[in-house]
Parts: sequence; structure tokens; C-alpha cells
Amino acid sequence: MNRTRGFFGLVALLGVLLALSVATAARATVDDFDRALSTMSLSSHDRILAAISTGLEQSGFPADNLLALVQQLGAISGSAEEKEMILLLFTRYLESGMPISGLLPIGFDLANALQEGVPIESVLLEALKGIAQGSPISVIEAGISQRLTLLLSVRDLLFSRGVFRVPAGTAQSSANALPETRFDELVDQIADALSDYLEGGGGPFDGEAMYALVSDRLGKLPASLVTSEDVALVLSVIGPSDLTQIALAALT
Amino acid sequence: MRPDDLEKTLRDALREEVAAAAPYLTNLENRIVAELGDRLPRQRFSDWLRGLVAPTRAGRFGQLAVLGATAALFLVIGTVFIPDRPLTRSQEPSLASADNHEILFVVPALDAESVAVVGDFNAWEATPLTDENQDGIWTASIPLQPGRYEYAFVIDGRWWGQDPLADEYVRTFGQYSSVRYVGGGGDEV
Repeated sequence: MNRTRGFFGLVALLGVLLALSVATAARATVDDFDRALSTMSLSSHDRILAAISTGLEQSGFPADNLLALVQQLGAISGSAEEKEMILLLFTRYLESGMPISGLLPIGFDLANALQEGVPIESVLLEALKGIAQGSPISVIEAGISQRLTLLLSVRDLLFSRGVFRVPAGTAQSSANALPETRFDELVDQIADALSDYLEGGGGPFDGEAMYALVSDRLGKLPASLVTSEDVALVLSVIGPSDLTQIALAALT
Repeated sequence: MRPDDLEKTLRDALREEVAAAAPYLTNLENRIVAELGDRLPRQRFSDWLRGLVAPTRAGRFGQLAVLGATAALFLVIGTVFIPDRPLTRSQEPSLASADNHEILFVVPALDAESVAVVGDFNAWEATPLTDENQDGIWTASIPLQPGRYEYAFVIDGRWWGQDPLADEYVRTFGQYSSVRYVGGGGDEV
């Protein structure tokens, strides 16, 4: 009887030890993050790592998912500054004591968009502004998603109307093919203007108002960023009804 | 309290507030103008170059002649030495310039303990403004590349998003922010 009890006790103890070792092995550590962050040249490496270390001390911290995101950022192409801004967004969340579980899927969306060459800087800045303002997490996260949808929709609209993005240094002859910095600036500003309009309470069905707002915004940009020919080209290929469709897509 | 009494109370309170603020408000406009004047920059090479190509004032004939001669020289060099091949858009030099513009942020905040500016240019992390002569006018000069920038001031921890010097305002997440277009002319210190 005693021998049987001792046997089961030993099995239970082994089981507990096994479970503990599995749990410990599965959970990402600070060293894992340090290694993953080191694959990117980040000026805020220490700050990001410090924030993650604080997060790792909390129960329920989605360490493995966050590590997967950091590793994905390290592996993809895209601007180093924008990768760092994605990580800084998480850092600010952690520094402000905000839970990152809702932000993680958005982080992967942002990483995918970055890999596709979508200019996501303004989306990230808007999120950082929301944190600086002390806005509720749900509002910030909804804002990020909406802005990302708008960016992708505007970019796709320009592509569908024959306006293209050409990598710097690539020779091409079409007047509709814009160097990537100017194309990205136009997409970014159109999406940002629409987002400001919608967040300011504007209705998606007033395409004329949105078109006027976009024209005004593009017309004010310094000539060192986009040329007047770029602006004229874009405004000639999009119309108020396009903007209504884009706004509706972002709202739904 | 009767409406007449309430009105009198409010009026008295307002009078006291105005009287308390009067010493700070005296000559406020002149002090701001003086502060701006102190910060006028020396003429930079880019300004001199801009002056050459914008002949709006008298006495630029000589400069224009130099410019014309230089252009002619480049034309000759281009005709002789550069192969006959059209310049595509992607071969054009980048429009983005490394030329920063010094942008001055000014806030009259008479009793403030701390004033900072947050915006697109500092990833919405505070850059402090200073009030060295303690006259209640806080300033910071920030070098910015051409572009559109949203920003706001944080005065003693409170958001203040409507800078009178802004080009426009936007309302996001329920609060206003100011916007400046840099590089469009007229906004340098």
C-alpha cells in the first residue's frame, strides 16, 4: 500500500516538474528578446528591452507572441525607422502600464503592411499621439486599424488608376510612375486627410467635402516633397465617389 | 441665489481675475515680438540662393546676370559632355532636402511651472520649452525638414492643442492638435 502510494507520489512529482520545465522552456526570455532585437539596428534597443523586461514580470504577458513579432520585424525588408517605431509603440504601451494583448494583432498587420511597402509612419505617429493624449486603448487601437485600412485603400485606388510607385534609382519613362518617396507621401497625406475628416465627425457620403479637403491638403504640401504635377495627376484620377467608397470601407 | 446676485458675484470674480493677471499682460505683445526678434537667424547660404532666384526687389540685376551666366555654362557643358538621352523622373535628383528649417514654438504661459511641445517631430514625446528671463513666454526652436507636422503643447501636464501660430487644427481622439507646414515659406524663425 505504502509502496503504491510512494509510486504515485513520485509520478505526480515528476509530472509537476515536467510541466514546470515545459512552461519555462516555452516562455520567451529577456535574452531571446535581446537576440531578436539585435538583428535590427535600433537606436532605442535598451529602452525597448527594458520595457519588455518589465512586461515579462507580469502574469499573462503575451511574451511568445511579442517575440514572434520582433522576430518577424527582424526578418522582413522595410525601413529600419518604421520597424523601430512599431517597437516603440509597444514600448510606450508598456511604459504607460497599458496591456499589449489587443495591440499585438495590429502589430502583425503593421509589420505585413511595412513588408508590402505601405508608408505606415503616420499611422504609428497617430497611435503615439493617442498615447500622449491619454486616450482609451480601444479608441487608439480602432484608430490605428482605421488608418491602416485607409492607407491600403488609397494605395490600391492609385494603383488601379494607373499611378505607380517606382523604387528610387529605377529608370522608367511613364509620367504616371512616381518615385516612391513622392508616391508614399501622397498616399499618406490622402489617407491622413480622410482619417482626420472621419474622426472629426465628417460623414462618408459627402464625397465632395472629402475631395475638397484632400485637394486642400495636397496643395499645401511643400514643393520639396511632392510636385504640383504629382498633385494634379492624383487629383485627376480620383473623384469624390472614390473617396466615399474608401471612407465607407474604413468605417465598416 | 437670485440671478442679480449671481451676476454680481460672477462679475466680481472676473474683475479680480483680470486685476491679478494685469501685471503679466502688460506689454505682452511687445515682449513676444522682442523675443522673436532676438531669434532672427543670420542669412544662410540657402536663403542667399533663394534670394538669387526670387528677384522681387531692386538691385538684383547683377545677381541675375551671374545666375544666367552659370546656367549658360551648365547648358554648354551639358550639350557637349552628356549623352543625348532623355532624363526620366526617377533619375531626377531627390526632391527631399536635408535642409532643416528652424521652427520657433512660442507659448505665453504666465504662471506655468513647465511647458513642453509634443508632435510628429519627436514621436509625441515631450521637448521642453524654456523661459530664461521668466517673463512668462516659453520658447523652443526645433530644426525640421520640409513637411506637415502635427503638434500640441503640454502646459503643466495639460494638453493645449490650439497654437495661434498654427496653419490649421485637427481634432483626433477627442482633442485638438495644431498643424504647421514647414518648407512652404514664411515659417522659419
